Amino acid sequence: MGFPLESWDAAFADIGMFIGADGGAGWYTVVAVVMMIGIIIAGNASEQEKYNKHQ
Amino acid sequence: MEEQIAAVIAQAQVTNTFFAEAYYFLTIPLMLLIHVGFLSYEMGATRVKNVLSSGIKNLLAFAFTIVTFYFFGWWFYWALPTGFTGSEGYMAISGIAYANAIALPWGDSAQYMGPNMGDHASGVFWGAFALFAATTASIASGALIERIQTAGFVILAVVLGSFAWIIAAAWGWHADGWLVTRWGFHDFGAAGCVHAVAGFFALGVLINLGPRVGKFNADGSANHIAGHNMMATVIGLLLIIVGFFGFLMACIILPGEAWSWYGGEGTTIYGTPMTLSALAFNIVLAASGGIIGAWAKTRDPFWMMSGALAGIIAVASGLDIYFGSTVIVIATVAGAIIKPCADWLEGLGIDDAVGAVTIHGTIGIFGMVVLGILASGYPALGAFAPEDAATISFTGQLMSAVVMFLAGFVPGYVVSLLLKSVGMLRVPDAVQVKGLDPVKVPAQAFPEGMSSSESEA
Repeated sequence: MGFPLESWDAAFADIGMFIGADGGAGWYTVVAVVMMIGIIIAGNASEQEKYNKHQ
Repeated sequence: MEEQIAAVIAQAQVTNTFFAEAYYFLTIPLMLLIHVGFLSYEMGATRVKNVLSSGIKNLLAFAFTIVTFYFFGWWFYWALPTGFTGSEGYMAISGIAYANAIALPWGDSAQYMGPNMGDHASGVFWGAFALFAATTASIASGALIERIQTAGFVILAVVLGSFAWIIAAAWGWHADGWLVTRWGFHDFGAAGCVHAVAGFFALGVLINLGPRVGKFNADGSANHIAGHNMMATVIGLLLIIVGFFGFLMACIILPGEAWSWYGGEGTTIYGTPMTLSALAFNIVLAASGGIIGAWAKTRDPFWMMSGALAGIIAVASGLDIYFGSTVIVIATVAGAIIKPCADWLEGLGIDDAVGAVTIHGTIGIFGMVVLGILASGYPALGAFAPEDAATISFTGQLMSAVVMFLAGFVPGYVVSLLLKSVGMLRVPDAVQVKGLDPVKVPAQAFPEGMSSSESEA
C-alpha cells in the first residue's frame, strides 16, 4: 500500500504506478483468486440445497 | 530545422499512440454488445419458467471468464504458440519466458497488468482478448439452456473461455502459432479458435448433459420447444452482429507503434496486409447473404438471423482477402445449410437449444476449409516471415480445422464428464419440470403471465 514512486515524474516510464506496484500485486491476486473460488463453492452448495428440496 | 522536424514527428507519434489506444479501447464496448445480444437471444429462446436462470448463467459466464482470463488466460496465449513445450517462436513474441514477463498479475510482469504510463497497449489488447474469451463462453451457453446447473456451467465457461479457446488461438491466431508457421493456417476472423472451438466444446458438453425433459419422445422423434420471446431472440442475434464489428475491428494490428508489423499499413494478426475497407465490404455482405440463404430454406426469422451469423462465420477466416461477390456466395450457402445441419444433429439425439453447434461449430469448419480451397498459395505470414514459411493450403486449413474441433470437443467432453460424475452438471428432472426460476431465482420475470397462439405454418 501507499505511493510506490518517488514522485509523479517517475511514473512517466515503463513501470507500474498502481497501488501495490512495489510488491503487493501478487497478494491482491491471491485474495481475488480465493474470493472467486470461495464464491463458486458457496454458490454450488446453495444450488444443490435447492435442488435437493425438490427431488 | 531538424529539431522542429523531430518535434513534429514526436508529436505525430503521440497522436498515433493515443489513436491506437482509443481504437482498441472502443472495440471493447462494441464487443460487449455481443453479450447484450447473447443475453437477449438466450433469454428469448428460453421458456418463461427458466428465463431468469438463463440470464444469470449468461451473466456469470461473462464475469467469470473475464476474471479468470486476467488470472491465467492471457498467459496461455503468449506462452504456448509453439506448442506445449512453451519454447520461443521465430518472431520472439512467444514462449513461457516471454509470457512470464508480460502476462501474469503478480511479480515483475504485474507492471503490464495494471496502470503503467509507459504502456498504452497491454490493457486494451488484454481487454479485447478478454471479450473474445467471454464471447466463446456465451456461444456455448445458449446450447445448454434450461437444464445445466449454474456452478457447473461456470466451471465449463472458465475452461472454455480461459483455457480451451486461448490455447487454440495461441496455435492458430498468433504469428508464432505452430498451425500458422508449419501449415499456413489463416483464420483472420477466428472462425476456428472462437467459433468452432466454442461450438464443438458445446457438443462435448451436450453429450454428457443430455436433452431437456420433454425434448425427445420414446420413439426418438424430437419435439420443438419454443422460447417465450422470439423478438428478444431475433433482436439479440442482430445485436451480436453489431458486436461482431467490434470483434473484427479488434483483429487488425494498427500501424506505426513499437508492436506494429509495419509503420504505415494495417495488418492481420499474422502480419499480412489488410484494410478496414475490406471488412466494410465483407461483413455486411456476409450477413446479408446468410439471411437470404436462410430465408430461402426456412422462411423462419430465427434461422434468418442465425443465417446472418452463419454467413459472417463462414467467411470469417478470409474476411481480409475475400472478394465481395465470393462472400455473397459462401454466406448464402452457409445460411441455407444451417437448418438441415441442425436437424441432422437433432436426429442424433443432441438437444442443441439454439443451434450453436451448427452455426458456430459446423459453419466454422466449413469456413476454414473453403478458404483453404480458394486462398491456396497466399502467404500465411507477412513480409518479415522466414523464407520457408508455409502458405495457405487446403490441407493446412483442413488439418487445422481438425485441431480446432479437438481443441473444443475434448475439453468440453472431459470436463463435463467430470462434473457429471460429481453431480454438478444436469439439473434434476423434477426441477426442470417445475422450472428453474421458481426453484432457485429470488425474482420473477413476468408476474402477469403471458401466452401466445401457436403457429399453423
